[in-house]
Amino acid sequence: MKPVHPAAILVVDDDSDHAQIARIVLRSIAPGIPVDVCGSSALVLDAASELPRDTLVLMDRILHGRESFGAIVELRAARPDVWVVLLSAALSSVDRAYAIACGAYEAMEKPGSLDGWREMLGSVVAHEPAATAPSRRPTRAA
Amino acid sequence: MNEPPTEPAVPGPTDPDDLVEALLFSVSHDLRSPLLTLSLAGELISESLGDRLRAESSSGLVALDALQHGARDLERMLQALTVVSRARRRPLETSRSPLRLLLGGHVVISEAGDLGSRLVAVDPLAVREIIDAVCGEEPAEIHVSLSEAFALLRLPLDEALADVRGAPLVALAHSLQRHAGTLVEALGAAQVMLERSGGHIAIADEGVHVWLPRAESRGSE
Repeated sequence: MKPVHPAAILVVDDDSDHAQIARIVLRSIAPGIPVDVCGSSALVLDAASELPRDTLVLMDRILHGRESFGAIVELRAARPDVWVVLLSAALSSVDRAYAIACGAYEAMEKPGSLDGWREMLGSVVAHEPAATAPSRRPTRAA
Repeated sequence: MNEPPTEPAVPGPTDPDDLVEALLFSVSHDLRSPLLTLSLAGELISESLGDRLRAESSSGLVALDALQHGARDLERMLQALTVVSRARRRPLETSRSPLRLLLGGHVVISEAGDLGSRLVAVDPLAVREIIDAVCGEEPAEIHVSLSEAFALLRLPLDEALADVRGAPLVALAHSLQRHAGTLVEALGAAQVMLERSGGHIAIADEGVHVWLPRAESRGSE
């Protein structure tokens, strides 16, 4: 997976603690990128047209008791320019393949340590400034 | 006039396997989520206040260490349930596989001559993973025999299994505290996958026995 160069990052997680931890880590590894937090996929879909171009959406796998795979399909249909990365407390290889088939750029298990979060999010978000990097569209690399 | 209330339909029986699977997933996912919060919050406290707590030698540092130790232990046990849950849901690609394919790289010992061409109906990748888990990457002596229905492999007994006998999943279920994160956990997952294919696994004094369902009848020998 190639890291992406998002203009903004939206963390979608109904667990506000996880969302805040993701925000703290993102601020440390990508301080120039604005990070917003949202607690439901319905809110994201309602406001899909307002997302900045090239937004990276970090979406929790289960939001308010429901799987997020359908929301990924809808979001990608409405905004093909956004990257969606699915995060889950438990993710099998089958789940990952399904998430990617639904349009996710990647699907990853939430690590149990801060270093793990830094490594995971660092592998998703490019560290170098976007201005010096080639433009990349949200299609998955092989 | 009001219609008489209709009797609700009697629900069908709940499939116990489906229930167990749902419970395993709920436990492995839903409980891990707040556990992550505890672990990560502990680390954040440690990163932001750890130096101050150490300088003061306060009980806060002891409490923080205890919090992180407990979270790691719980994570280890939840991971064991996740491993079993995944073994139940993993797609198996069962094929007629020659024993030679499964046992390549190891020293095969058999009283019935060369059994390498005998076929078993298993997912070869899953069986190789089981053999690798028990034997490691070095070549090991594997005893092979045939019965009417099974090819029986006897893998060497790892020291980690010295005080475990019988079905590994039973041992794991009896004590997550003791077996989570060990070879018993890996063999518990192996038991789930083997039984889905009609095979079995057990830990005995002589070694780890693995029964693989034969894909040929004796009549074809």
